[in-house]
Amino acid sequence: MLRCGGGSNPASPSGSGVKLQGVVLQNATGNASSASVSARSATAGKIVVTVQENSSLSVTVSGNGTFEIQNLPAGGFTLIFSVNGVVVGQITITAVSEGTTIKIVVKLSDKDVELVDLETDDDNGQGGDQPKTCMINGGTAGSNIELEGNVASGDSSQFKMRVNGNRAGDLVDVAASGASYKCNGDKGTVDCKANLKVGVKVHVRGNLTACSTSAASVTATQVMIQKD
Amino acid sequence: MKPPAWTVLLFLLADVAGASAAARARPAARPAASDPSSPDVSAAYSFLRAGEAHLHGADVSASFRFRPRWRLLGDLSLHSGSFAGTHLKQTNFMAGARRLFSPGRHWQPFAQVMLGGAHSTSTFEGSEVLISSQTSWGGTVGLGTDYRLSPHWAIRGQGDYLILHSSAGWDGDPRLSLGLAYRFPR
Repeated sequence: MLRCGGGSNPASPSGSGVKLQGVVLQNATGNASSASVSARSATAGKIVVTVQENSSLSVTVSGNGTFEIQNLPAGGFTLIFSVNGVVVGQITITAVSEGTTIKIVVKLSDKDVELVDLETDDDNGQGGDQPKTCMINGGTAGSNIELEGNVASGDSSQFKMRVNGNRAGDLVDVAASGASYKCNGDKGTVDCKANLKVGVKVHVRGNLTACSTSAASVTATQVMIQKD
Repeated sequence: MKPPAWTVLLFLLADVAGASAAARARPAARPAASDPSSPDVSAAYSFLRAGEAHLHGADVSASFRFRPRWRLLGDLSLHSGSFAGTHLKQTNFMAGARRLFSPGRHWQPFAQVMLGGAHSTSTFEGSEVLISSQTSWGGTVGLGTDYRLSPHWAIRGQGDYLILHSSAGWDGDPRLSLGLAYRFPR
């Protein structure tokens, strides 16, 4: 694909590093039932994805929402999404090994960006053909992680969350008693903490303390309660 | 009633076989071009690189002569595929003009320019189903050639470059097609 409008730089001189393939669903709407869907034509403008750790790695998302970035740093990186030059959000991906291909699906609205799905495809033989040990795609016990989803049960000190998309095989336990809380981008307050209720959309940042094929525990350092 | 696919295939084979027998009887003769002013239709397998995705599908077109060596044409192609766990579909609808160049013994090269649009849909099916759609407008330039098998049938290969504009900016997507073309008797 050639972008005629500029800004694109999917450079990959050596083919090493981490490759990211992504799809941006603009203003997409959906339903929890797989049988029911609704759609919305995109109203957003030109979408640019920039890697925070290396701003020369920047691509313009194509008309059908697909994009690809190569030579990303192993370990982790943050993707910054902007629409018509205005930053609308960012996604941090951690615990990525060299040679991995990451596939993400992102839902983008006028005001925020949400990671819907993440899958990894390890090309260097260090994981792709090995049995899966962690129920969270892209998750490694002991590493930092970011998750998006909805609160399934619990309260602000300890809750279970349902991760968006197909990223996690089951509910994830989140210990959040020591986490800072933010609501819709505001500074955390006690009142914000009280907004954590069953069903709310949250973005959790923290450490994946334990992970098996059937259970995962995260000690959160930050919980962002998203606007519905 | 729509004829079954095997009858169409038999018709095609009979037509080509008949033409081959005629060609053997007249070894020096080249496959006679049927009346070049008659309309033609084509159906082809088609590959489209849409954004970063590789999509596969079908391309159908129809054309008719409006000036010597010039034909007006309409083209419809449908492609689908997946990328990063998302199912993608794209429909291109174009119309324009085709310029025929001097034919060879079997070959009939051409160039074409069309204007039209494309509608793409991205669907992600996880714990919820998300759909995003986009309509783009623009055009395509392309080159191709027919290889005549008989007075009516030809193999057609062509390559196009779609230049499309949407709110997301400009996209340039290459498309390759290979299939059969049929020229109607007058």
